[in-house]
Amino acid sequence: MSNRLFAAVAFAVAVAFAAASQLIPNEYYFTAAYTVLQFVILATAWNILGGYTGYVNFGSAAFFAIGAYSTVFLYNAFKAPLPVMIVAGTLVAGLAGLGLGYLTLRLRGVFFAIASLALSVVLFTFIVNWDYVGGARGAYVLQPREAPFGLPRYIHLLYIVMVLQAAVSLIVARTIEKSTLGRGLAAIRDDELAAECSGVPTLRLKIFSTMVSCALMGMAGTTFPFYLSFIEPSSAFSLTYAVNSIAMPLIGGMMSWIGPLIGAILLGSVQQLVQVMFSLGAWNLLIVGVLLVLFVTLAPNGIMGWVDAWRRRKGR
Amino acid sequence: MAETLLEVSGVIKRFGGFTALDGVDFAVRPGERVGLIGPNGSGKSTLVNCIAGTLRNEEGSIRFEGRDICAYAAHKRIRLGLARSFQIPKPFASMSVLDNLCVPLLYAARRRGAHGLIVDEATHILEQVGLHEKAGSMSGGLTQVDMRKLELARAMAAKPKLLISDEAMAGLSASEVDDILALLLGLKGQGVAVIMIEHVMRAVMKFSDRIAVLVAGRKIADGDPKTVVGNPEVIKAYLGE
Repeated sequence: MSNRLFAAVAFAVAVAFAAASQLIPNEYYFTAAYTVLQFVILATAWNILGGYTGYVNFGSAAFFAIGAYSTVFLYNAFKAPLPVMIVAGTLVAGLAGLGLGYLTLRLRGVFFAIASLALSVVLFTFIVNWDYVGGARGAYVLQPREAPFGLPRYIHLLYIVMVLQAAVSLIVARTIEKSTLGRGLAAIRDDELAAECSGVPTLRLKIFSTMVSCALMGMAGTTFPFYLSFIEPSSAFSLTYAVNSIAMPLIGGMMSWIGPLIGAILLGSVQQLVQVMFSLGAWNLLIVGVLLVLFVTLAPNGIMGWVDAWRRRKGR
Repeated sequence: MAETLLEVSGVIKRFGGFTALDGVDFAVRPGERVGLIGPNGSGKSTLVNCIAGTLRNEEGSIRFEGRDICAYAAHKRIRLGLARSFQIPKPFASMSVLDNLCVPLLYAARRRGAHGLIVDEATHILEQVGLHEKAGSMSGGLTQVDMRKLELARAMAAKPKLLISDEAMAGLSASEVDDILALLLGLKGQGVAVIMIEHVMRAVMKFSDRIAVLVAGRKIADGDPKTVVGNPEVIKAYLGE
Protein backbone atom coordinates (compact mmCIF):
# COMPACT_ATOMS: atom_id res chain seq x y z
CA MET A 1 0.00 0.00 0.00
CA SER A 2 1.39 3.40 -0.89
CA ASN A 3 1.95 5.96 1.85
CA ARG A 4 -0.79 8.25 0.60
CA LEU A 5 -3.32 5.46 0.38
CA PHE A 6 -2.43 4.29 3.86
CA ALA A 7 -2.75 7.82 5.22
CA ALA A 8 -6.17 8.18 3.58
CA VAL A 9 -7.34 4.83 4.88
CA ALA A 10 -6.00 5.50 8.38
CA PHE A 11 -7.77 8.86 8.54
CA ALA A 12 -10.98 7.40 7.17
CA VAL A 13 -10.90 4.60 9.73
CA ALA A 14 -10.11 7.09 12.50
CA VAL A 15 -12.99 9.39 11.55
CA ALA A 16 -15.44 6.50 11.14
CA PHE A 17 -14.30 5.03 14.43
CA ALA A 18 -14.60 8.33 16.26
CA ALA A 19 -18.06 8.97 14.76
CA ALA A 20 -19.38 5.48 15.43
CA SER A 21 -18.26 5.53 19.02
CA GLN A 22 -20.36 8.65 19.64
CA LEU A 23 -23.31 6.24 19.68
CA ILE A 24 -21.89 4.50 22.73
CA PRO A 25 -24.06 5.61 25.64
CA ASN A 26 -21.52 4.74 28.31
CA GLU A 27 -19.50 7.80 29.36
CA TYR A 28 -16.86 5.59 30.86
CA TYR A 29 -15.94 4.24 27.44
CA PHE A 30 -14.48 7.63 26.46
CA THR A 31 -12.43 7.97 29.61
CA ALA A 32 -11.00 4.48 29.23
CA ALA A 33 -10.45 4.74 25.48
CA TYR A 34 -8.61 8.04 25.97
CA THR A 35 -6.03 6.26 28.12
CA VAL A 36 -5.65 3.35 25.71
CA LEU A 37 -5.21 5.74 22.77
CA GLN A 38 -2.64 7.70 24.75
CA PHE A 39 -0.63 4.50 25.00
CA VAL A 40 -1.11 3.74 21.30
CA ILE A 41 0.58 7.08 20.53
CA LEU A 42 3.32 6.65 23.14
CA ALA A 43 4.11 3.09 22.09
CA THR A 44 4.13 3.98 18.38
CA ALA A 45 6.37 6.97 19.07
CA TRP A 46 8.74 5.01 21.29
CA ASN A 47 9.05 2.33 18.63
CA ILE A 48 10.36 4.79 16.02
CA LEU A 49 13.52 5.17 18.07
CA GLY A 50 13.46 1.97 20.11
CA GLY A 51 12.21 -0.54 17.57
CA TYR A 52 13.32 0.88 14.22
CA THR A 53 16.62 2.41 15.32
CA GLY A 54 17.49 0.25 18.33
CA TYR A 55 17.95 3.02 20.89
CA VAL A 56 16.09 2.47 24.15
CA ASN A 57 14.48 5.59 25.53
CA PHE A 58 13.66 5.41 29.25
CA GLY A 59 12.49 9.00 29.27
CA SER A 60 9.12 8.70 27.55
CA ALA A 61 7.41 10.20 30.59
CA ALA A 62 9.59 13.31 30.30
CA PHE A 63 8.53 14.01 26.73
CA PHE A 64 4.92 13.24 27.56
CA ALA A 65 5.20 15.70 30.44
CA ILE A 66 6.77 18.33 28.19
CA GLY A 67 3.65 18.14 26.06
CA ALA A 68 1.39 18.31 29.08
CA TYR A 69 3.22 21.18 30.75
CA SER A 70 3.48 23.25 27.61
CA THR A 71 -0.32 23.09 27.59
CA VAL A 72 -0.40 24.21 31.23
CA PHE A 73 1.90 27.10 30.38
CA LEU A 74 -0.17 28.21 27.40
CA TYR A 75 -3.36 27.82 29.43
CA ASN A 76 -2.01 30.02 32.21
CA ALA A 77 -0.44 32.54 29.86
CA PHE A 78 -2.99 33.01 27.07
CA LYS A 79 -5.84 30.53 27.49
CA ALA A 80 -4.67 29.49 24.04
CA PRO A 81 -7.01 27.42 21.87
CA LEU A 82 -6.54 23.65 21.92
CA PRO A 83 -5.05 23.26 18.41
CA VAL A 84 -2.33 25.80 19.28
CA MET A 85 -1.54 23.86 22.44
CA ILE A 86 -1.28 20.60 20.54
CA VAL A 87 1.08 22.03 17.94
CA ALA A 88 3.17 23.88 20.53
CA GLY A 89 3.56 20.86 22.82
CA THR A 90 4.57 18.68 19.87
CA LEU A 91 7.17 21.21 18.73
CA VAL A 92 8.66 21.76 22.18
CA ALA A 93 8.96 18.02 22.82
CA GLY A 94 10.51 17.59 19.37
CA LEU A 95 13.06 20.30 20.15
CA ALA A 96 13.86 18.65 23.48
CA GLY A 97 14.35 15.38 21.60
CA LEU A 98 16.62 17.12 19.12
CA GLY A 99 18.70 18.49 22.00
CA LEU A 100 18.88 15.13 23.77
CA GLY A 101 19.83 13.44 20.51
CA TYR A 102 22.48 15.99 19.66
CA LEU A 103 24.07 15.73 23.08
CA THR A 104 23.95 11.99 23.62
CA LEU A 105 23.70 10.11 20.34
CA ARG A 106 27.41 10.31 19.63
CA LEU A 107 27.54 7.69 22.34
CA ARG A 108 26.26 4.27 21.52
CA GLY A 109 23.71 1.95 23.05
CA VAL A 110 23.27 2.01 26.78
CA PHE A 111 24.64 5.53 27.29
CA PHE A 112 21.67 6.96 25.49
CA ALA A 113 19.29 4.99 27.70
CA ILE A 114 20.95 6.37 30.82
CA ALA A 115 20.93 9.92 29.46
CA SER A 116 17.22 9.69 28.62
CA LEU A 117 16.49 8.58 32.18
CA ALA A 118 18.62 11.41 33.54
CA LEU A 119 16.74 13.94 31.41
CA SER A 120 13.51 12.71 32.94
CA VAL A 121 14.81 13.35 36.46
CA VAL A 122 16.19 16.77 35.55
CA LEU A 123 12.91 17.88 33.95
CA PHE A 124 10.90 16.55 36.88
CA THR A 125 12.98 18.63 39.29
CA PHE A 126 12.64 21.64 37.02
CA ILE A 127 8.84 21.40 36.86
CA VAL A 128 8.52 20.76 40.60
CA ASN A 129 10.34 24.02 41.20
CA TRP A 130 8.59 26.09 38.54
CA ASP A 131 5.78 27.84 40.32
CA TYR A 132 4.15 29.33 37.23
CA VAL A 133 2.99 25.88 36.05
CA GLY A 134 1.97 24.80 39.52
CA GLY A 135 5.22 23.45 40.88
CA ALA A 136 4.89 20.51 43.24
CA ARG A 137 1.31 21.57 44.17
CA GLY A 138 0.04 20.96 40.67
CA ALA A 139 -2.20 23.13 38.52
CA TYR A 140 -5.85 23.20 37.53
CA VAL A 141 -6.59 23.23 33.82
CA LEU A 142 -10.35 23.40 33.57
CA GLN A 143 -12.28 21.94 30.70
CA PRO A 144 -14.44 24.53 28.92
CA ARG A 145 -18.03 24.25 30.12
CA GLU A 146 -19.38 23.90 26.60
CA ALA A 147 -18.04 21.22 24.28
CA PRO A 148 -17.73 22.45 20.66
CA PHE A 149 -19.33 20.89 17.53
CA GLY A 150 -22.46 19.98 19.51
CA LEU A 151 -20.67 17.22 21.35
CA PRO A 152 -22.36 16.25 24.61
CA ARG A 153 -19.27 16.57 26.79
CA TYR A 154 -15.70 17.80 26.52
CA ILE A 155 -14.27 14.30 26.99
CA HIS A 156 -15.86 13.40 23.65
CA LEU A 157 -13.75 16.07 21.99
CA LEU A 158 -10.60 14.92 23.78
CA TYR A 159 -11.37 11.40 22.68
CA ILE A 160 -11.75 12.45 19.03
CA VAL A 161 -8.50 14.40 19.22
CA MET A 162 -6.80 11.31 20.61
CA VAL A 163 -8.16 9.10 17.83
CA LEU A 164 -6.82 11.54 15.22
CA GLN A 165 -3.47 11.87 16.99
CA ALA A 166 -3.16 8.08 17.05
CA ALA A 167 -3.87 8.01 13.32
CA VAL A 168 -1.21 10.67 12.71
CA SER A 169 1.33 8.72 14.78
CA LEU A 170 0.65 5.50 12.92
CA ILE A 171 0.92 7.26 9.55
CA VAL A 172 4.22 8.88 10.54
CA ALA A 173 5.60 5.59 11.86
CA ARG A 174 4.58 3.59 8.82
CA THR A 175 5.85 6.22 6.37
CA ILE A 176 9.25 6.18 8.09
CA GLU A 177 9.29 2.40 8.21
CA LYS A 178 8.66 1.98 4.48
CA SER A 179 11.00 4.75 3.34
CA THR A 180 14.71 4.88 2.56
CA LEU A 181 15.01 6.49 5.97
CA GLY A 182 13.46 3.41 7.58
CA ARG A 183 15.95 1.16 5.84
CA GLY A 184 18.78 3.32 7.12
CA LEU A 185 17.39 3.17 10.65
CA ALA A 186 17.09 -0.62 10.44
CA ALA A 187 20.72 -0.78 9.29
CA ILE A 188 21.72 1.30 12.33
CA ARG A 189 19.78 -1.06 14.61
CA ASP A 190 21.44 -4.14 13.12
CA ASP A 191 25.00 -2.81 13.02
CA GLU A 192 25.79 0.84 13.37
CA LEU A 193 29.38 0.65 12.12
CA ALA A 194 28.42 -1.36 9.05
CA ALA A 195 25.59 1.12 8.42
CA GLU A 196 27.98 4.08 8.54
CA CYS A 197 30.35 2.24 6.19
CA SER A 198 27.45 1.59 3.81
CA GLY A 199 26.90 5.31 3.42
CA VAL A 200 24.19 5.81 6.05
CA PRO A 201 24.68 9.15 7.83
CA THR A 202 24.09 7.48 11.18
CA LEU A 203 24.30 10.48 13.49
CA ARG A 204 21.89 12.57 11.44
CA LEU A 205 19.38 9.73 11.12
CA LYS A 206 19.52 8.95 14.82
CA ILE A 207 18.94 12.57 15.76
CA PHE A 208 16.05 12.80 13.32
CA SER A 209 14.33 9.69 14.60
CA THR A 210 14.80 10.84 18.20
CA MET A 211 13.23 14.16 17.31
CA VAL A 212 10.20 12.61 15.60
CA SER A 213 9.73 10.03 18.34
CA CYS A 214 9.89 12.64 21.11
CA ALA A 215 7.63 15.07 19.26
CA LEU A 216 4.91 12.42 19.02
CA MET A 217 5.30 11.60 22.72
CA GLY A 218 4.86 15.28 23.49
CA MET A 219 1.78 15.38 21.28
CA ALA A 220 0.26 12.56 23.32
CA GLY A 221 0.62 14.71 26.45
CA THR A 222 -0.87 17.94 25.15
CA THR A 223 -4.50 17.18 26.02
CA PHE A 224 -3.67 15.37 29.25
CA PRO A 225 -4.17 18.36 31.60
CA PHE A 226 -7.70 18.84 30.24
CA TYR A 227 -8.39 15.15 30.60
CA LEU A 228 -7.62 15.20 34.32
CA SER A 229 -8.53 18.88 34.88
CA PHE A 230 -5.68 18.84 37.36
CA ILE A 231 -2.05 18.03 36.75
CA GLU A 232 0.88 17.53 39.07
CA PRO A 233 4.45 16.47 38.31
CA SER A 234 4.18 12.96 39.73
CA SER A 235 1.22 12.10 37.48
CA ALA A 236 2.73 13.66 34.36
CA PHE A 237 6.12 12.01 34.94
CA SER A 238 4.58 8.74 36.08
CA LEU A 239 6.66 5.60 35.77
CA THR A 240 3.64 4.06 34.05
CA TYR A 241 4.37 6.01 30.86
CA ALA A 242 8.02 5.06 30.67
CA VAL A 243 7.33 1.40 31.41
CA ASN A 244 4.27 1.03 29.20
CA SER A 245 5.79 2.72 26.19
CA ILE A 246 8.61 0.17 26.30
CA ALA A 247 6.49 -2.84 27.24
CA MET A 248 3.78 -2.34 24.64
CA PRO A 249 6.04 -2.43 21.55
CA LEU A 250 7.97 -5.32 23.10
CA ILE A 251 4.78 -7.31 23.54
CA GLY A 252 3.25 -6.34 20.22
CA GLY A 253 6.42 -6.58 18.15
CA MET A 254 8.99 -3.90 17.36
CA MET A 255 9.72 -4.51 13.69
CA SER A 256 6.66 -2.81 12.24
CA TRP A 257 4.12 -0.09 13.00
CA ILE A 258 1.39 -2.60 13.77
CA GLY A 259 3.20 -4.19 16.73
CA PRO A 260 3.01 -1.21 19.11
CA LEU A 261 -0.63 -0.69 18.09
CA ILE A 262 -1.55 -4.25 19.04
CA GLY A 263 0.55 -4.16 22.20
CA ALA A 264 -0.97 -0.88 23.34
CA ILE A 265 -4.57 -1.91 22.69
CA LEU A 266 -4.03 -5.25 24.39
CA LEU A 267 -2.06 -4.11 27.40
CA GLY A 268 -3.93 -0.82 27.73
CA SER A 269 -7.30 -2.58 27.74
CA VAL A 270 -6.17 -5.22 30.22
CA GLN A 271 -4.98 -2.45 32.53
CA GLN A 272 -8.29 -0.62 32.27
CA LEU A 273 -10.16 -3.84 32.93
CA VAL A 274 -8.11 -4.70 35.98
CA GLN A 275 -8.47 -1.18 37.30
CA VAL A 276 -12.23 -0.98 36.92
CA MET A 277 -13.59 -4.50 37.13
CA PHE A 278 -11.40 -5.61 39.99
CA SER A 279 -10.32 -2.23 41.45
CA LEU A 280 -6.75 -3.41 41.33
CA GLY A 281 -5.13 -0.39 39.66
CA ALA A 282 -2.07 -0.76 41.85
CA TRP A 283 -1.43 -4.11 40.23
CA ASN A 284 -1.03 -2.65 36.75
CA LEU A 285 2.74 -2.39 36.75
CA LEU A 286 2.95 -5.90 38.17
CA ILE A 287 0.82 -7.18 35.31
CA VAL A 288 3.05 -5.39 32.81
CA GLY A 289 6.09 -6.93 34.46
CA VAL A 290 4.70 -10.47 34.37
CA LEU A 291 3.61 -10.11 30.73
CA LEU A 292 7.03 -8.75 29.81
CA VAL A 293 8.81 -11.71 31.37
CA LEU A 294 6.41 -14.10 29.63
CA PHE A 295 6.90 -12.49 26.25
CA VAL A 296 10.65 -12.08 26.48
CA THR A 297 10.99 -15.79 27.25
CA LEU A 298 8.23 -17.23 25.04
CA ALA A 299 7.89 -14.79 22.13
CA PRO A 300 10.94 -12.49 22.08
CA ASN A 301 9.78 -10.83 18.86
CA GLY A 302 6.35 -10.06 20.26
CA ILE A 303 2.97 -11.00 18.92
CA MET A 304 3.82 -9.89 15.39
CA GLY A 305 7.05 -11.89 15.45
CA TRP A 306 5.02 -14.90 16.46
CA VAL A 307 2.48 -14.25 13.70
CA ASP A 308 5.26 -13.86 11.10
CA ALA A 309 6.87 -17.14 12.16
CA TRP A 310 3.49 -18.88 11.94
CA ARG A 311 2.90 -17.43 8.47
CA ARG A 312 6.31 -18.62 7.28
CA ARG A 313 5.62 -22.12 8.56
CA LYS A 314 2.24 -22.16 6.84
CA GLY A 315 3.72 -20.82 3.61
CA ARG A 316 6.19 -23.67 3.40
CA MET B 1 52.30 6.45 -14.51
CA ALA B 2 48.58 7.03 -14.13
CA GLU B 3 47.29 9.46 -11.52
CA THR B 4 46.90 8.11 -8.02
CA LEU B 5 43.44 7.20 -6.70
CA LEU B 6 44.35 6.95 -3.03
CA GLU B 7 47.33 8.64 -1.50
CA VAL B 8 48.19 8.05 2.13
CA SER B 9 51.16 10.02 3.38
CA GLY B 10 52.83 10.19 6.76
CA VAL B 11 49.83 8.75 8.58
CA ILE B 12 50.29 8.36 12.32
CA LYS B 13 47.73 6.71 14.60
CA ARG B 14 48.29 6.26 18.30
CA PHE B 15 46.23 4.39 20.88
CA GLY B 16 47.30 5.97 24.15
CA GLY B 17 51.04 5.40 24.33
CA PHE B 18 51.04 2.77 21.60
CA THR B 19 51.83 3.92 18.07
CA ALA B 20 49.86 1.64 15.75
CA LEU B 21 50.80 3.46 12.55
CA ASP B 22 54.08 5.29 12.49
CA GLY B 23 54.27 7.47 9.41
CA VAL B 24 52.80 5.22 6.74
CA ASP B 25 52.99 6.23 3.07
CA PHE B 26 50.87 4.23 0.68
CA ALA B 27 49.34 4.85 -2.70
CA VAL B 28 46.92 3.07 -5.02
CA ARG B 29 46.32 3.82 -8.71
CA PRO B 30 42.92 3.46 -10.37
CA GLY B 31 42.12 -0.18 -11.12
CA GLU B 32 45.21 -1.45 -9.33
CA ARG B 33 45.23 -4.61 -7.21
CA VAL B 34 47.38 -4.21 -4.15
CA GLY B 35 48.06 -6.84 -1.52
CA LEU B 36 48.67 -5.54 1.99
CA ILE B 37 50.35 -8.05 4.26
CA GLY B 38 52.08 -8.09 7.60
CA PRO B 39 52.18 -10.11 10.81
CA ASN B 40 49.29 -9.90 13.29
CA GLY B 41 49.22 -6.57 15.08
CA SER B 42 51.27 -4.81 12.44
CA GLY B 43 48.61 -2.15 11.84
CA LYS B 44 46.89 -3.40 8.67
CA SER B 45 43.39 -3.13 10.06
CA THR B 46 44.19 0.20 11.70
CA LEU B 47 45.32 1.52 8.34
CA VAL B 48 42.09 0.30 6.75
CA ASN B 49 40.08 1.94 9.49
CA CYS B 50 41.92 5.24 8.98
CA ILE B 51 41.37 5.10 5.22
CA ALA B 52 37.69 4.15 5.53
CA GLY B 53 37.07 6.74 8.25
CA THR B 54 36.11 4.46 11.13
CA LEU B 55 39.21 5.74 12.92
CA ARG B 56 40.79 9.17 12.62
CA ASN B 57 44.52 9.46 12.03
CA GLU B 58 46.32 11.94 14.27
CA GLU B 59 48.82 13.10 11.68
CA GLY B 60 49.45 12.81 7.98
CA SER B 61 47.06 13.14 5.10
CA ILE B 62 44.77 10.81 3.21
CA ARG B 63 43.79 11.90 -0.28
CA PHE B 64 41.20 10.26 -2.47
CA GLU B 65 41.13 11.43 -6.09
CA GLY B 66 43.26 14.36 -4.98
CA ARG B 67 40.83 15.44 -2.28
CA ASP B 68 41.90 15.46 1.38
CA ILE B 69 39.34 13.25 3.13
CA CYS B 70 40.79 13.20 6.66
CA ALA B 71 37.92 15.28 8.02
CA TYR B 72 35.24 13.19 6.28
CA ALA B 73 32.99 10.83 8.24
CA ALA B 74 32.94 7.24 7.04
CA HIS B 75 29.59 7.58 5.27
CA LYS B 76 30.95 10.48 3.20
CA ARG B 77 34.00 8.48 2.17
CA ILE B 78 31.96 5.57 0.86
CA ARG B 79 29.80 8.02 -1.06
CA LEU B 80 32.96 9.22 -2.78
CA GLY B 81 33.63 5.63 -3.80
CA LEU B 82 35.80 4.23 -1.06
CA ALA B 83 34.22 1.01 0.24
CA ARG B 84 35.42 -1.61 2.67
CA SER B 85 34.44 -5.03 3.91
CA PHE B 86 34.82 -6.08 7.52
CA GLN B 87 37.13 -8.77 8.81
CA ILE B 88 34.37 -10.15 11.00
CA PRO B 89 31.23 -10.07 8.83
CA LYS B 90 28.69 -7.51 9.95
CA PRO B 91 25.49 -8.35 8.11
CA PHE B 92 22.29 -6.42 8.76
CA ALA B 93 20.87 -9.49 10.45
CA SER B 94 17.19 -8.52 10.46
CA MET B 95 17.20 -8.03 6.69
CA SER B 96 17.20 -10.45 3.81
CA VAL B 97 20.37 -10.86 1.76
CA LEU B 98 18.86 -8.70 -0.98
CA ASP B 99 17.86 -5.93 1.43
CA ASN B 100 21.40 -5.88 2.80
CA LEU B 101 22.61 -4.68 -0.60
CA CYS B 102 19.84 -2.11 -0.89
CA VAL B 103 21.33 -0.09 1.97
CA PRO B 104 24.57 0.90 0.21
CA LEU B 105 22.75 1.07 -3.12
CA LEU B 106 20.34 3.64 -1.71
CA TYR B 107 22.71 5.51 0.53
CA ALA B 108 26.00 5.44 -1.34
CA ALA B 109 25.61 4.50 -5.02
CA ARG B 110 22.51 6.64 -5.58
CA ARG B 111 24.32 9.69 -4.29
CA ARG B 112 26.72 9.49 -7.16
CA GLY B 113 23.96 9.42 -9.71
CA ALA B 114 23.54 5.69 -10.25
CA HIS B 115 20.14 4.90 -11.71
CA GLY B 116 17.91 1.96 -12.39
CA LEU B 117 15.82 -0.24 -10.16
CA ILE B 118 17.48 -0.90 -6.83
CA VAL B 119 16.25 -4.48 -6.69
CA ASP B 120 17.57 -5.24 -10.19
CA GLU B 121 20.96 -3.86 -9.29
CA ALA B 122 21.07 -5.79 -6.03
CA THR B 123 20.08 -8.99 -7.85
CA HIS B 124 22.77 -8.38 -10.44
CA ILE B 125 25.45 -8.06 -7.77
CA LEU B 126 24.18 -11.17 -5.99
CA GLU B 127 24.50 -13.06 -9.28
CA GLN B 128 28.08 -11.89 -9.56
CA VAL B 129 28.98 -13.25 -6.14
CA GLY B 130 26.82 -16.36 -6.48
CA LEU B 131 24.34 -15.54 -3.73
CA HIS B 132 21.30 -14.94 -5.93
CA GLU B 133 19.62 -18.16 -4.86
CA LYS B 134 19.71 -16.93 -1.28
CA ALA B 135 18.43 -13.42 -2.03
CA GLY B 136 15.35 -13.93 0.12
CA SER B 137 17.06 -15.67 3.05
CA MET B 138 17.71 -13.82 6.26
CA SER B 139 21.33 -12.72 6.31
CA GLY B 140 21.84 -13.73 9.94
CA GLY B 141 21.46 -17.40 9.06
CA LEU B 142 24.08 -17.61 6.30
CA THR B 143 27.13 -19.90 6.41
CA GLN B 144 30.54 -18.32 7.04
CA VAL B 145 31.59 -18.35 3.39
CA ASP B 146 28.26 -16.88 2.27
CA MET B 147 28.57 -14.20 4.91
CA ARG B 148 32.01 -13.26 3.53
CA LYS B 149 30.51 -13.09 0.07
CA LEU B 150 27.68 -10.93 1.34
CA GLU B 151 30.21 -8.68 3.03
CA LEU B 152 31.99 -8.17 -0.30
CA ALA B 153 28.74 -7.87 -2.21
CA ARG B 154 27.59 -5.12 0.10
CA ALA B 155 30.84 -3.23 -0.44
CA MET B 156 30.45 -3.72 -4.21
CA ALA B 157 26.89 -2.41 -4.05
CA ALA B 158 28.25 1.01 -3.14
CA LYS B 159 29.73 1.04 -6.69
CA PRO B 160 33.17 1.88 -5.33
CA LYS B 161 36.27 3.02 -7.17
CA LEU B 162 38.38 1.46 -4.45
CA LEU B 163 37.39 -1.59 -2.45
CA ILE B 164 39.28 -2.64 0.64
CA SER B 165 38.87 -6.30 1.46
CA ASP B 166 39.88 -6.95 5.06
CA GLU B 167 40.81 -10.63 5.46
CA ALA B 168 37.84 -11.91 3.52
CA MET B 169 39.40 -15.38 3.32
CA ALA B 170 40.59 -15.98 6.88
CA GLY B 171 39.51 -19.40 8.12
CA LEU B 172 37.99 -20.55 4.83
CA SER B 173 38.76 -23.83 3.08
CA ALA B 174 40.92 -23.93 -0.07
CA SER B 175 37.96 -24.13 -2.44
CA GLU B 176 36.16 -21.34 -0.60
CA VAL B 177 39.29 -19.20 -0.89
CA ASP B 178 39.23 -19.80 -4.65
CA ASP B 179 35.57 -18.67 -4.75
CA ILE B 180 36.33 -15.38 -3.04
CA LEU B 181 39.50 -14.88 -5.07
CA ALA B 182 37.61 -15.33 -8.33
CA LEU B 183 35.10 -12.80 -7.11
CA LEU B 184 37.75 -10.21 -6.32
CA LEU B 185 39.60 -10.87 -9.59
CA GLY B 186 36.31 -10.27 -11.41
CA LEU B 187 36.29 -6.67 -10.14
CA LYS B 188 39.28 -5.91 -12.36
CA GLY B 189 37.00 -5.94 -15.38
CA GLN B 190 34.92 -3.21 -13.78
CA GLY B 191 37.94 -0.99 -13.21
CA VAL B 192 37.65 -1.16 -9.43
CA ALA B 193 40.91 -0.84 -7.53
CA VAL B 194 41.25 -3.34 -4.69
CA ILE B 195 43.38 -3.41 -1.58
CA MET B 196 43.46 -6.96 -0.33
CA ILE B 197 44.52 -7.60 3.22
CA GLU B 198 45.21 -11.25 3.61
CA HIS B 199 47.22 -13.90 5.37
CA VAL B 200 46.52 -16.54 2.74
CA MET B 201 49.73 -16.00 0.74
CA ARG B 202 48.66 -18.19 -2.15
CA ALA B 203 45.72 -15.84 -2.74
CA VAL B 204 47.74 -12.66 -2.25
CA MET B 205 50.41 -13.78 -4.72
CA LYS B 206 47.84 -14.76 -7.32
CA PHE B 207 45.84 -11.61 -6.90
CA SER B 208 48.21 -8.70 -6.49
CA ASP B 209 49.89 -6.44 -9.03
CA ARG B 210 51.88 -5.11 -6.11
CA ILE B 211 52.42 -6.01 -2.46
CA ALA B 212 53.03 -3.71 0.47
CA VAL B 213 54.26 -5.03 3.82
CA LEU B 214 53.50 -3.46 7.17
CA VAL B 215 55.49 -4.38 10.25
CA ALA B 216 54.94 -2.71 13.63
CA GLY B 217 53.20 0.28 12.07
CA ARG B 218 55.81 0.93 9.40
CA LYS B 219 55.86 0.00 5.76
CA ILE B 220 59.02 -2.02 5.17
CA ALA B 221 58.49 -3.06 1.57
CA ASP B 222 56.32 -2.11 -1.39
CA GLY B 223 56.64 -3.40 -4.93
CA ASP B 224 56.48 -6.35 -7.28
CA PRO B 225 55.09 -9.42 -5.42
CA LYS B 226 58.00 -11.73 -6.21
CA THR B 227 60.64 -9.18 -5.20
CA VAL B 228 58.79 -8.32 -1.99
CA VAL B 229 58.43 -11.89 -0.71
CA GLY B 230 62.11 -12.45 -1.47
CA ASN B 231 63.09 -9.37 0.52
CA PRO B 232 65.22 -10.46 3.53
CA GLU B 233 63.55 -7.92 5.84
CA VAL B 234 60.10 -9.29 5.03
CA ILE B 235 61.26 -12.86 5.61
CA LYS B 236 62.76 -11.77 8.91
CA ALA B 237 59.52 -10.12 10.01
CA TYR B 238 57.53 -13.27 9.34
CA LEU B 239 59.95 -15.99 10.32
CA GLY B 240 62.42 -14.32 12.66
CA GLU B 241 66.17 -14.67 12.23
